[in-house]
Amino acid sequence: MGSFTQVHLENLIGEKGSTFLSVAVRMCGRETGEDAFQNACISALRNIGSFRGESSLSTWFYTILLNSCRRQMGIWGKIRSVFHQGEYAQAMIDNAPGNDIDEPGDERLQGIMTLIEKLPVRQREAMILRFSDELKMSEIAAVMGCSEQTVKVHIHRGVSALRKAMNAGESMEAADEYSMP
Amino acid sequence: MNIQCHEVQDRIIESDGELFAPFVAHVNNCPACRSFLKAFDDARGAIKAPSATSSRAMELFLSTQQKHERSKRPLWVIPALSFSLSLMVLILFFGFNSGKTVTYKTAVNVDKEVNDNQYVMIQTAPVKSEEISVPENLSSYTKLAQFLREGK
Repeated sequence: MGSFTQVHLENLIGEKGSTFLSVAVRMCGRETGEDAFQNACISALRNIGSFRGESSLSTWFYTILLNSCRRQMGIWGKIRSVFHQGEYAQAMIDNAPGNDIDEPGDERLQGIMTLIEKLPVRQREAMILRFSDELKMSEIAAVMGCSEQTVKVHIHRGVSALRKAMNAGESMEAADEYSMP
Repeated sequence: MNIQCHEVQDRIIESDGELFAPFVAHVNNCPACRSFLKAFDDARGAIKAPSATSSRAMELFLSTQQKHERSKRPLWVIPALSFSLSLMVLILFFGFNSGKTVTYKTAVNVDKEVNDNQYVMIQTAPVKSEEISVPENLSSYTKLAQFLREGK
């Protein structure tokens, strides 16, 4: 495999940039996600020369992006735990991953995204990587640095937790409707 | 064909939306697998909903690329910086070390604590002579010893 240059990276971003950015935004919200995406770009630009083509360029970038998101979430998570009230907290809520879906009938999707956001980090990562770009299990495993079986378990647990939460929500909505005059 | 729920759910996770007929039949007859499939599709729909445009991604990438280009240092910068730094250290050392260091061998009668084998190092400093008040009737060595002992 030949050496890779910034041109390859530029082509990749041109082709799949929106998916990469969507993954970052889904992982950690609009502003933090964009920061994570930019940090990933910087890191990729610096290290593109050392990429040997052992995986696809896309998988390599996903790995960088995921690490960048984890770092960003680590920083913001600590800050959020300190400033959990007031305007800052409201800004964090406004920038939450589910709050950027502007399509008709998006309330339900926002609700599902809010539930996904509450899942444990690894489950959320596995689900976002699986659904954003329809990555294969082997690719997700390479990006997350674990086995394919572990990825399956993460997704299975995430979907099961989501199903339970949705069922609970539906039963609560049904109870509300029943109690209304 | 007896298919277990976990097999079907594994297949749902791995598949891209297409399921074999036996799995479809199982899903139709199994409420747990049906609700699992529904939750799976809902999650896929929510996550796949557009949240970023390719133009925004390219805009962010290009601005990052410009910053990266600006931050690149030419090869001569690092040796030049290290040379400048060492030059600065030398200038600081010689520039601020303008005072003379004089070594006097003391006589035995200067002070009991000072013998022939001991040396007194005196670093000259810009101190006015009137700031050092030494009684006139003392010898020079005694003055020195007193100055060293008492600081006056």
